[in-house]
Amino acid sequence: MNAKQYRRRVKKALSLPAGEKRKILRDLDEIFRSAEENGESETDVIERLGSPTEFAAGFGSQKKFRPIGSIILTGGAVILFVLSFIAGNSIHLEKETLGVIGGADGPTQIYISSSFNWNMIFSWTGGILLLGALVLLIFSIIQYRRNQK
Amino acid sequence: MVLLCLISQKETYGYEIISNLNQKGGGILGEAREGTVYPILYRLEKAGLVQSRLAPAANGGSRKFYSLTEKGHETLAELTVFWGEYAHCIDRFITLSKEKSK
Repeated sequence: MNAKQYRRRVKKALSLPAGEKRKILRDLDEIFRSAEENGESETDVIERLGSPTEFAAGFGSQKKFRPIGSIILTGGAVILFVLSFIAGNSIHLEKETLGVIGGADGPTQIYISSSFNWNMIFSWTGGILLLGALVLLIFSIIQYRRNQK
Repeated sequence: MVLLCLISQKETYGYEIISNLNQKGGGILGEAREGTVYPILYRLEKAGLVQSRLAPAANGGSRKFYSLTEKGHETLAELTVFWGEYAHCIDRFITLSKEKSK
């Protein structure tokens, strides 16, 4: 691991507002530069600093496991599924009412097919969102594990 | 508290603080390292006890110089009083135990 990689990992491990992060990373740059000035290698400094997570934890912030992205996506997927369900049901209702009114067969058919498409769109986007949520969740678990090391 | 003492003497920066700590407190205080000193400085600043200003350094980067704030001076004074009492108290116990063992 070199200084650049170390810096990147510290940045990842810090969960603070961007301004605070910038301050800490500037401090880190100063640490490396001062050490270099005094004839120390990057490896020496990194060894003394401990792991990036430890260093970040010293500033009172350890990244918690927060799969926000996947939660939002799952929520979106659920809403879309519900919408597709409602859409599907309302089509039936409208079909019946149309039938009762006794509208011409042609327009009714068009109406159904167009509504059916909406239903499909809702459930498909819902499915894609759910898939995205799953991928994000797996990704955040991997990242969290790596940060723990 | 040691950091407040050091910073109160003159405006100073991270690396200087660490080498000072290791020179003057070496052995007893243990080796001061960046990983411990910088986070403390960060927290002291957040607590409003020290303030800092950035100045360009000879090595091309920037260097953060720390100084005590008004609140920092007050806190240092309070801590100094407390430490005096604390040390005095411990000393009394030591004296008592010495007298007993005579």
